[in-house]
Order: sequence, then C-alpha cells, then structure tokens
Amino acid sequence: MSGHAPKGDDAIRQTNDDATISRLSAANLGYFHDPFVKYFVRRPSSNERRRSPLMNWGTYLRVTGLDELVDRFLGISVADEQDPSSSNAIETAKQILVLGAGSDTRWWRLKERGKQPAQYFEIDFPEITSLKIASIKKNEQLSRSLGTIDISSGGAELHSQAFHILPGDLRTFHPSITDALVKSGFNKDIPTLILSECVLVYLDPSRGDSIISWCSENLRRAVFVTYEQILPDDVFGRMMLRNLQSRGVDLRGIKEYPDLASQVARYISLGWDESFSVNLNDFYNSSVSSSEKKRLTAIEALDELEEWRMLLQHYCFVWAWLDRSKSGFTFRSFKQL
Amino acid sequence: MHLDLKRLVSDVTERKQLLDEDLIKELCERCKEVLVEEGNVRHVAAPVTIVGDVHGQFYDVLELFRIGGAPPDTNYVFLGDYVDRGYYSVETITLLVLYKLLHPQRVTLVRGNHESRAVTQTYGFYAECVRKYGGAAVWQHFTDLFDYLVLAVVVENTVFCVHGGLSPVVHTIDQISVVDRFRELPHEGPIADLVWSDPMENYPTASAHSPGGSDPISAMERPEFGLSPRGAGYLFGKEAVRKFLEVNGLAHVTRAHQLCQEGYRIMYGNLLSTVWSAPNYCYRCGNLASVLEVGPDLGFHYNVFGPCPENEREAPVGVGSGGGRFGFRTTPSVDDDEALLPPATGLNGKIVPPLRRWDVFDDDDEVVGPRKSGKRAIENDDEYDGRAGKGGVVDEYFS
Repeated sequence: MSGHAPKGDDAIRQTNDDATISRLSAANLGYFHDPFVKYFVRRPSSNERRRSPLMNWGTYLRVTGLDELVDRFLGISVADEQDPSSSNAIETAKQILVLGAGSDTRWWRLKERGKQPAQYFEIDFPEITSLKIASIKKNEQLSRSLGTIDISSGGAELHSQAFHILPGDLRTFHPSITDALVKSGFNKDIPTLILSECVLVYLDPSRGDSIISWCSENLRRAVFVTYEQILPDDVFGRMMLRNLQSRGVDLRGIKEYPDLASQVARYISLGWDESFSVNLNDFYNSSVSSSEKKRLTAIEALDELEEWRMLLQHYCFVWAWLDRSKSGFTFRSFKQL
Repeated sequence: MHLDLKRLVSDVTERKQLLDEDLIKELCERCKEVLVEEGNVRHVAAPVTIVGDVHGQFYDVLELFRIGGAPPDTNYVFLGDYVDRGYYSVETITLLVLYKLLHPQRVTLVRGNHESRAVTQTYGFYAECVRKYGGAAVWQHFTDLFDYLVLAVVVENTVFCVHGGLSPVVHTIDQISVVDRFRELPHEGPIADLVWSDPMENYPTASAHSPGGSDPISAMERPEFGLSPRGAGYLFGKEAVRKFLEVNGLAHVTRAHQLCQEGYRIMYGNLLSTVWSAPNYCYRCGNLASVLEVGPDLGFHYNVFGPCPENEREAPVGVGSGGGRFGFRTTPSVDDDEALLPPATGLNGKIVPPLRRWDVFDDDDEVVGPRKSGKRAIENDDEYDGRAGKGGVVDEYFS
C-alpha cells in the first residue's frame, strides 16, 4: 500500500481531495451550509465520503472560524483614503486572495449571501485549477453566478468579472504569480485578505516567509489569515508527522513555526503591524455556544474528549493585519476571534 | 451444529478470516445463552487480567494476548468498548466471543458505552460490518448480543470493575444486580452512568456544577457528582469513590473509558485506576496501553505495552511468547526493583492493591501516574509502519 503513496507535489495536491471530502462529509450531515462542495467530488453520495464524528466536528470548527474571520474583514468599514478626514466611513472595494485554494467553495458561499468582495483570486497548481475549472464548466449551479467566463492556459486559468482562478506554483510567488495577479486586476491599494488554509506549512519556511513579506511590502491595507498545524514535538505531533510522511506529505514549515508564539512572531518580524493566534481547542471552548454544541451533538455526539482536545491543540488560526494608508483602518475587531 | 471453536479461533487469529454471517449468528446465539445466566454483576476470583478499551485494534489485541497470555492460561475481564474507531472491530469482537464460548468461566465481557446500536452507527462498527459483509445482519447479531453483556465485575470481593464509573443513584452493588440490563443502553439512569461516567481530579469544585439554575445533582443530594461534558453519565470525585467502596466493603475501583497516554492512571491515593488497552489509539495518539494483572494475593501489576510492530503482524498467538515489546516486561521479575509490592491492608480491613514504587504523587498526596520513564510506544522508527496506506491515515487529519 505504501508503494502507492503519491510523492512530492502529488501528495500535497492530494491533501486537497482529503480536505474536500472532509467538507463534503460535514456539509452532508448538516454541520454547515455548503451546497457547492459536492460538485468537486467524484461520487459525492458514496459511503466512503463520510468522515468520523471527530473529523466532522473539526471541519465544522475550521470552516466556522475562517468564515468568521472573512466575514469580519468584509464587514469592516474603511475610510476613504482620498478623504480621510471625513467622518463617514464608506464601503471601499475589498479583495480576497486565496493561496492553494483547491476545491474551495468560499466564493460561491459568499455570493449566495450577497457578501462576495469586489475581486476574488484563487491560486493553485494547474493540475488542480484545471479540474476545478472543468467542474465549473460542467455545473450550471457553479457557472451561472460567475457571469461571463473566460478560460485560458489550456483550461487551467479562469477569469470572470469578480472571480479569478490562476494556475501557479507558490514556490515562485514573486514575480510570476504576483505579476499574473496584477494583470488580472489585483489592486495592491485596496483592503486585501490573504487566506492560507493548510498551505504555507507545506512550503519551505523561507518560501512561506517571502510570500508573507511580499504582502507586507506591497499591500497598503491587508489581513493575512492562516490555518495550519502546530506542535510537531509532542507525542501526538510526532505521530502526526510520521503518519503524514507515510502518505508523502511533509509539513515543511512546522519545525520553524511550531507553536502559537512563533507563528505570531513570524508575521511581526515580516512587517505586519499586529498578529494574533488561537489554537482550535481554545477556539472551541471560547467561541462555540452551548446551543450550537447542542445542535452539533444532535447530528453526531462527541463521545470522548481527550483525543478531541489533543487533535484540536495541533491546529491553529493565525491572523495578522497592516495599514500603510492614513485612513485609520479599524482592525481592532480582529484581536479576539 | 457442532462447532470446532478452537479451529475457529485460529481461523480468526492466524488466517485472519472473516467468519460467515450464519456462523456469526450461531456464535452470538450461543453466547447469549451463556451470558443470560450471568448476573449483572459478575463475581470472579484472582488471578485475573483486566483489560480496558480495545476499539477494534485487532492486531494490538493479538499483541495483548502475546503479552498477557491467551485464555485459558490467563483469566480475563474485558471492560468493554470492543468495537468502533479501529479498523478491525469485526475480527476483535468475533475473537472475544469465541474465547467466551471456549472458556466461559475464565473470560468475562463487560459492556462499554460503545456496545450500543446508536453509538456503533456513528463510530464505525456499523459501517465496517456493511463494508465487510455487504449488509447489516452481522451488526444486528452483535448488537443484539451486546444487550446481554454484564454491567460490572467484582474481583475477590475487593475490586469493583466497570467500564465508565459510578452513578449518583447507585449506592450498592445489589442495586446494580436488580436492573433489567437486557436492552439497548439507555440515555440516562444507572446503566447509562455505569458506562459513561468519569472520575475527575480535585472534585467537587464549584465550576464543575452547572452554572446557575437548579443543580439536578444537588436535588438528589449527591454533591460528589456533577454533569459530564460528554453529555451522558456524570463526573465524580474521590468522595464518591470512597463512599461507594466503604458502603460495599470494597477496596478499589478499576475502570476504562478514558484514554491514558501512559496506558493506565491511578487516582485518589490508589482508590481508583483507569486501564486503557488500545496503544497508539486511532493510530494517531501515540499512547501506550496496559492491562491490569491482579495476582492471587491481589497484588496489582500494570503491564504496559506498545502497538504491534508491522513485521510481527503475522506471528501466531502464543502464551507469554517472550519479552514485552519495546523493552517492557511481560512478567514481573523478583529481582527487579519495579517488582510487585506486598499487598497492604486498607479500607475495612480489606486488602488494598499495592502501589508501584515509582508512582508519582502530586502535592495533595494523590497518585497522578507513573514517573515518566522516557519509554514511548515507538522505540524503533523502522518497526512502526504508521498504518501507511492502510485505510488512509491522512484522512484522519485536517489538511
């Protein structure tokens, strides 16, 4: 069986399949609303698509936490840079950049609620973007909300008025991906959210650092949101690394940024104004209401908590922000998730 | 129908065969006939080995029998949670049923919270049965059998053994004996409590009670119990254990139900212990496992072991076939300074199982667990396969 394990980039690309199936499993059971993920999974009704309750709860937490961060970003009132003395904060255009977006359905879920930003960019390997674009073409439920679509690069690139999929390798973020972004309408001046959902950790730390630095050097108002693994050195962490390695997945960044403190320090040292973090266990304890826990328990009861806590402690949300404009960005609401 | 049970055992353990559905049905029917004669609380004699959760980790169960000895050479009390989570729940429960039929006096099967139709539909056993047999019949046979499992065990009128823990409405052993156990596990009540409850350190404290409103536990005048975060059963503290032991003339409670990184955990000055027998739980937690060997003089030995190494997966089950894996002993040696201590006299003049010399005490003189020996489940990186590609371990992480 280990002979069939994918190697290198293939193994990383496969993590997208795993994550997508996890989202499908949780969505199917009613943990959260995502009517779009099924279009990106082969045989979405198969029994193989159901994950364990621990995974479903964990996927719910991940989706909920990131949704909340994204919603807060989109909801922030930003003063007009041209008229900063004005006491009226206006809604300036915002954009979102998703690194290693895979089969993410976030754009459609935002669009369904009328919350989509002015511009939305997704980057991933061409092998992945091609499949995603093929699914979009095949399913009217995905394509109709995009409006006019322009597909290029042999099916690996898609542009529409507000939504763009760009093929690329994050190891060469600048200049190849950044140039392509700008050419596609990416605006360095408007408030930008960059999302890395289990992505940076797969990169060599120096390459991840250079992405984070490029953003802090080139963007005027930005938020960087990361979700990834931490704590490689305890028993659970060592087993996690070993298990992932046996499937060809290396968490290259985890030793360099192994805990919440070093994750936070990373963004500060790379030019961001402030940075915060929380592990998923603390997020679960502080941010999931008891009525929500009741609702989830009615779907699937968590029968034991030791393993749950251990698993959750090995994942974190990290978010950092910067403001180079004189418009006095109100990012305070990010201090506590 | 004549059944060659010994041959069936080797079919399962050596040839790793799945038994036919008809055969499973027959085995379950016979096992029910044996279990129906057993009271809710079964009294057994020492020596006996007590086993905690195994959760379908069949290869680790085989390892357990290598280390602890197979029936009938060793008497066993299994504390439940035979199925769910691991990938081999069918093989695991099949083997235990066979051993029970072969050696009904020497093997005791206690019910855990996972021996339930509702829980097994969520946590893997149902899905595994469907996958391996193409339908739900085998699951039905086993879950019908689960209704017959006993609720608790008392060893030598000294040690109370149960899957989860104590109940605020159960004061005496007799109260357990009179309930009707032959049904699906209820959501609440004494049976639910016995399979779901957990001990808690430094209990009771104000925070453990439900905030605001009327506390249902106080209403029952059992402040030593509190609501459990699991949503079933209760939390209980030292006082609850002490009272229960005193009222019933017992010295110790042994239970399972909670993961222990070191394989076992001793609490409340050795009034209660937790035994956990699934090493590297879910192939993810990296924990050790143990079985509790109660000697003829009621000496306690927690025999700790790690997961089955990949390269010995095909080895036949033998009796005490050599040293424990990863440097752990399978049998205590007299010269070893970690040897058994003589039993001491404790509560009610009953023999109290001895503490191991190297147990660690916290400030309140409570035993919190063994000193960190530095031994981990995986001594040799090469030996452990991480279940590579076997059922997709990466599925069980977020990526």
